[in-house]
Amino acid sequence: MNFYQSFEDIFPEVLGNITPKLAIFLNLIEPRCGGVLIIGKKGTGKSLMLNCFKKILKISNLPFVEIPIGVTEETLIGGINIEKTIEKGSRVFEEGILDRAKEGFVLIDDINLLPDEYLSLIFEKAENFNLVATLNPEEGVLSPHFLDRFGMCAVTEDLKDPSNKQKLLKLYENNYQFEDSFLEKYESAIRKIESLKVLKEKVRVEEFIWDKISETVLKEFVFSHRAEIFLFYASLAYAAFKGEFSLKENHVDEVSHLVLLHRKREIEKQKVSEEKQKEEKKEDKEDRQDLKPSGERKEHKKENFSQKEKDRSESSEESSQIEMSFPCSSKEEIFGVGEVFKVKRMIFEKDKTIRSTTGRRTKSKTRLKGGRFLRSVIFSKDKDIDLFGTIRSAAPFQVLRGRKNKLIIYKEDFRYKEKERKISHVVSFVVDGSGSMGVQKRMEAVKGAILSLLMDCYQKRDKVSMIMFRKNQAEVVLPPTSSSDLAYKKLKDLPTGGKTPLSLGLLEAYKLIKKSHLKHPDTRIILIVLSDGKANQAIKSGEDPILEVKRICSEIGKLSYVDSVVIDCELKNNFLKMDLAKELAKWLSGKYFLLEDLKAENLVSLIDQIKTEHLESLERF
Amino acid sequence: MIFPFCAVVDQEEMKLGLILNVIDPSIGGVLIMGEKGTAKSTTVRALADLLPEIEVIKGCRFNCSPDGPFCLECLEKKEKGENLEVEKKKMEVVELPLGVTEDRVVGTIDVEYAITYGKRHFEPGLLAKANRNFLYIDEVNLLEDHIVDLLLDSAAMGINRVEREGISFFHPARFILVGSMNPEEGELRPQFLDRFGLCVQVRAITDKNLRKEVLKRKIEFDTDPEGFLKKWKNEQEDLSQRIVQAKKNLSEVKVPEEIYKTVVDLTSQLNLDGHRGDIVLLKAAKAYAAFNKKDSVEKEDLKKVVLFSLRHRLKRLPFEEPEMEVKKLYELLSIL
Repeated sequence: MNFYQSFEDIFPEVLGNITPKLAIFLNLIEPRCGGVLIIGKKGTGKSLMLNCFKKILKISNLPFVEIPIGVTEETLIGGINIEKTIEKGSRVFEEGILDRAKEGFVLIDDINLLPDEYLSLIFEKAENFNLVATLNPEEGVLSPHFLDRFGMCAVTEDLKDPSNKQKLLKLYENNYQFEDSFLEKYESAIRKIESLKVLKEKVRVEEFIWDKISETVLKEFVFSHRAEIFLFYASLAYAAFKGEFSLKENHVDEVSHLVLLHRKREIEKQKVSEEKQKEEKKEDKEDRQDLKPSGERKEHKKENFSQKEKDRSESSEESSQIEMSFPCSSKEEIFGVGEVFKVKRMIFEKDKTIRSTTGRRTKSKTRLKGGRFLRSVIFSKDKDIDLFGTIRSAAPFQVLRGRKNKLIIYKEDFRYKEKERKISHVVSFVVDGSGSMGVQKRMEAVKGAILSLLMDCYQKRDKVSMIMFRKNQAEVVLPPTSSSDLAYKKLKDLPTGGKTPLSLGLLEAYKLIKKSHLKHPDTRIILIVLSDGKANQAIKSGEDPILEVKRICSEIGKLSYVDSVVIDCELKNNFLKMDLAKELAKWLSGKYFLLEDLKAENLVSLIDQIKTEHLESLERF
Repeated sequence: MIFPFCAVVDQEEMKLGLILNVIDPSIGGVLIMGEKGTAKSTTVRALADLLPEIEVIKGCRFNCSPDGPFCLECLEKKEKGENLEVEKKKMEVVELPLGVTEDRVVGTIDVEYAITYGKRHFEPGLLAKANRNFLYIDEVNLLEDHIVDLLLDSAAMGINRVEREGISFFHPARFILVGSMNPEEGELRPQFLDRFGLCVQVRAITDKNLRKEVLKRKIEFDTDPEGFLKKWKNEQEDLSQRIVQAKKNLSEVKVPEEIYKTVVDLTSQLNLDGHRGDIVLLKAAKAYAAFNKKDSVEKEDLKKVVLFSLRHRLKRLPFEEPEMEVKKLYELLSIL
């Protein structure tokens, strides 16, 4: 039987996708391979693959559990079953899904949609079971330390071969019953797995294999020892799969991508290139020391980028010169960080969601024990008893109930607390890095403002993320993190120059917001746009960039969990003043601030603003 | 079956940091900085397994020591004149997951129970389980702030006190706090950093032969755990004895006057905030001296522990890069 054909037989419902099939199969032969993560875009057969895997487990009577996305902590790790407790009159504990998984397999579809807290609960017990999960990268990724826990990772892909596509059509033309189809093939696959399990024990391991494994891992800059351990077991299972009695180098090579794919790190590569840049910096010591308004030790760096980079920016400038309608400098510069100040307080309205997070920005109803008592309520999911309320409601009936010396309280007297407590937000910065921001070192002031806002976020315990748009691209410089430190480091090195693809930046923000909402539906998100609003580059060529901006803004404005703030970075004494950012704020139905007005001390202007607004509204009557 | 401590390859700094905390738990815990998959939790578990069993009061939900301090329940039993039986127990590593609730950490007073039955009822939390054990937090930098606050409070006081609606409960909570974090994923706030006694760095092993050794030992352990444990038994027992002995001798280790001076000189030149740095440095050096069967602290001992006692205290403000201070620390070290 040919190698590929044998895979057709393993999961007959799935065509192609050899690597994920191989990974699952190896994992079945040797569960010490450490589980499989299946990554793929929508419709590439991830969930189908998981279902097939489930079918194998079912037929061969292996223990497994599935974790649904909407799982709660109690169902996950167990807890008190309230209904049964009341019925029986004594505490009844119920074991969680994870406890039921003992020594078996745990299946999770769309693992990236589970909140990190639950993931950490799952991985805490991961030694006891084997995890097989799917992930759609379009909807957010897992952080590296979670990825590292998976033994293997494989990508599902669309079928390329037309004949295979036709085969797929024929297969799914009649909605057949999954459960019973291909039973024979499954049974033969299971028999094969059983025999391979026996064979695996007999595979010999020579001394040079250890070297080979260590070398393979080190070559990819992977430092986690898990990589080697899992690679060893995967190779072992693979050797058995190939029907060989000794582990050879090519076995290691052929499965190494399964183990190393999700452990390879971009950072190492970055480090190398950063070092190169540093060397270049040393070469042209043009660092000017300017007088800073704040007199701080921040330095202003003017940097010459490598010749290549220059060429690229110039060529892109040339190609798009015709569309240019706003002034923008073609130079690429990195500005220092300007003055840092205390940020004015921004107040966002309360909403109705009950949350269990904490922070220091906006008030919200809370499920946590702490918090300010709001009122006494009869029904509450959270069982936080309000003692006074309970006694108060029991008091009128004491005589009726025949009280002697002990207070008599019935179940219907119980009152619960509704509390509120401050929560933190996810703050998403969208920063304009186009050439127009470089005029008169405007970027310096902007960076100062962002740092000030970051300080504010740090104090209020917000998570921050940052998106930068300039030239032809928008980039998530920093995915949501609670480390404002990291944000600051990224901010310092943000370059300025090129055109203004504002709509692209906002689109990127929209995607980011959607992703983090999927993962943490409770979290409120603040979008802070720092720009002069002078969009001059559309996503689709030929479109009106401003119109595009307007469209995306209205989409963002529809999201109830997002509060937007636009900080106008335009120089208002400039004769080219256009006040586009004000429009932007209107489209986003968000707050609008001038960069200069962000300071907390600037109370006078705020009062003035309110006064004029008040007057305007009076005039309307 | 737990992987033997002595078989963990390299990572001497982490091992030493943990051992010093076992010798003198008042050092205040260890923060392990390092990448994923570098045997952080394996090492902690291995150490707990290595140590001899501890004596606890039989049936106590809080692992009270027969020599006290006692929890409220044991105190009540004592007052009634009941005889407290003693049993032996292995030390545990209690893991604190991210996203844990306040209730699960400190435990809960069941107000509903108190109202209906007129009795106090306390449901122990993780801190109760962690008493006289290890409390391990993976990715401590991702833990919610208010939980970290709670933990550090209890760790510092050695007691867990719960107050709810006028009903109070307390029990001893003396544990060795071990946190791990990967700095790439975000930093811990300076206030929190400071409250960890020691901060050790786990380096990624890049040497091929060492890595090979790691892999081989792990696979050997996987295939024949009993045989593997037998192989390491002698070494394990020696180390265990050495730690127990050091613990006993700790109070007899003398500190010469000049050592006090050196510690203060060092910390004042580094402009450290607060005195925790000084205290931890001295305690760590003392524990190290005891570990090496010395009867007084020498400069060499200080030198050995100074880096992981002070490293994480150099940064005092958010957004500050402590590179200069680290350099200074190294300079001062070379003079020492």
